[in-house]
Amino acid sequence: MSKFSNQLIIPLLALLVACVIPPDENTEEMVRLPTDAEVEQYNASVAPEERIVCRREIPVGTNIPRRLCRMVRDVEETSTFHRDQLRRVLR
Amino acid sequence: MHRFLPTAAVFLVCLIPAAGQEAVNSAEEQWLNNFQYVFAEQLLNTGVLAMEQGEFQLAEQNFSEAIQVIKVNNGLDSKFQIPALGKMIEALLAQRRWEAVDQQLGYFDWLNLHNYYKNIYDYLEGSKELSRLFLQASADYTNPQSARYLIAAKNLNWQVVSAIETTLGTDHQLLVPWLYEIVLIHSYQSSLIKRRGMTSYEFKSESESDVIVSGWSIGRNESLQLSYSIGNELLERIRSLYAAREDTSAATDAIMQVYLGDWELLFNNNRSALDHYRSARQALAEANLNADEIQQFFSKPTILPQRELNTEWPVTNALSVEDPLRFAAWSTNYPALTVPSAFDSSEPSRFSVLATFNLRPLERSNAERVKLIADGSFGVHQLQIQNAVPDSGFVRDLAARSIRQLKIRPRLESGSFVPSVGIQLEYIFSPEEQALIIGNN
Repeated sequence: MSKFSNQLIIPLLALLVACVIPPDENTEEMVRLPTDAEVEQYNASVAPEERIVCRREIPVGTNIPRRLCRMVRDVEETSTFHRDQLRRVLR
Repeated sequence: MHRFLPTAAVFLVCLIPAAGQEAVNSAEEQWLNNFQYVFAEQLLNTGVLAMEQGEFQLAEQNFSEAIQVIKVNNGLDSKFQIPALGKMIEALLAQRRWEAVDQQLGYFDWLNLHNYYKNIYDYLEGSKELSRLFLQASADYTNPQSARYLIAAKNLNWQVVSAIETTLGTDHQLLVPWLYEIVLIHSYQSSLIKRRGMTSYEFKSESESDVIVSGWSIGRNESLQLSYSIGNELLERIRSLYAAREDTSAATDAIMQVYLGDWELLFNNNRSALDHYRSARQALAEANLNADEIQQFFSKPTILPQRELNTEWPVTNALSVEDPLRFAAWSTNYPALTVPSAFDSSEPSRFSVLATFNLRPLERSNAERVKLIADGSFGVHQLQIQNAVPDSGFVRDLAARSIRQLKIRPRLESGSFVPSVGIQLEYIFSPEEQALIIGNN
């Protein structure tokens, strides 16, 4: 009985931990994302296209929101690319 | 005799060009006299007089000429232009010539940046004035780019913070007023967001002047959350800057907790606010400060946000319980927010009212009706206008509408907010409200 319990509890604990800790937790610890104030301070001194936007987003495949930071230029380029792709498909 | 002739001839030959040179110098002096530095001061004084008499165009001309004289005497990028330039922008603001205002603010920014490379303290002084002018431009309700100037003021404050960090160090005490100014600008920004849904900043490409980059915008709640988060972070940073000082006291840290509580209250986080206030009160008591002074500090309702950061104990601007509260409205663009610290609010105003009201919890039905008000929030009840100058129904209604929007920290007793009865408030109308009153009469 106790052997059976151990066999059940250990995978359950592992599953629980897997749900709580995002897969790339260690990476996030290594590279600390800037705080909102730090982002605003940086944005105040650079050209508009060089600014950074940080938002909480829910990536595909999980319900746990993550804070992601991107450059405005990259956001622009990505949305232009997607718009072009959509136009091509719809043609 | 003959022996002296060649010497005399040489002397004469030397004298003739010298006399010619003197004549040229005299002509130059005569020409330069038009640009003597003393004229700059005279022009500046004449311009100030013209401003006082409401002759803004004449004032602008005087200030502009003063700037030219200073440029001739002290160089194109001389810091001595700044007082005249600031006044010229004020004259342009009074005329609501927004294009010219924008151009001169841009010139001020350029000039100020030159100061940074020469002397950081001159740069700080210039930035203080430029930030005030940005805010003044932002406060005018006829300005189509009001929000843009508010953001310009905030960005300038951030640039100053970066300059101080780079030049004087990241823990320098000079950072405190600039960081608090950014906190206050976030409270003005939140006021704009709540009413207009201002969700994106201007992204104008400098390389291609016609292209507006507007690839992202954030929702109202997210934007408010951002302002809250930044304000909170900056207040915590100010707290840690004070904590690092050698002459710091427990009282200073406790007062900073009160400011943190006020910030929570402004964003309707009533529970977090109470936690900060309780913690502050406990810290003040543990520091063995006068119990009556502590009681008095928390007994007086306070209008938020506080325009100045005052962390000395006993807090000198804390009025006695009997004194009326005083609120000088800044602009209809930013209702229920007081004049920023860069502006003088002590000048006697022609138009004001004296009101009394009770401060008690909003009823559930009211709280539900008014969006963004959390349960347990306090509001103005049984408002009565005791005295109005000038007295008319319009003036009384205008004041009542504005007073009801004020965010007030309630009295704190035994770790909880308690209602107050018969609070007196002197409400001073903003310049635009005064213009409205004159127009209505």
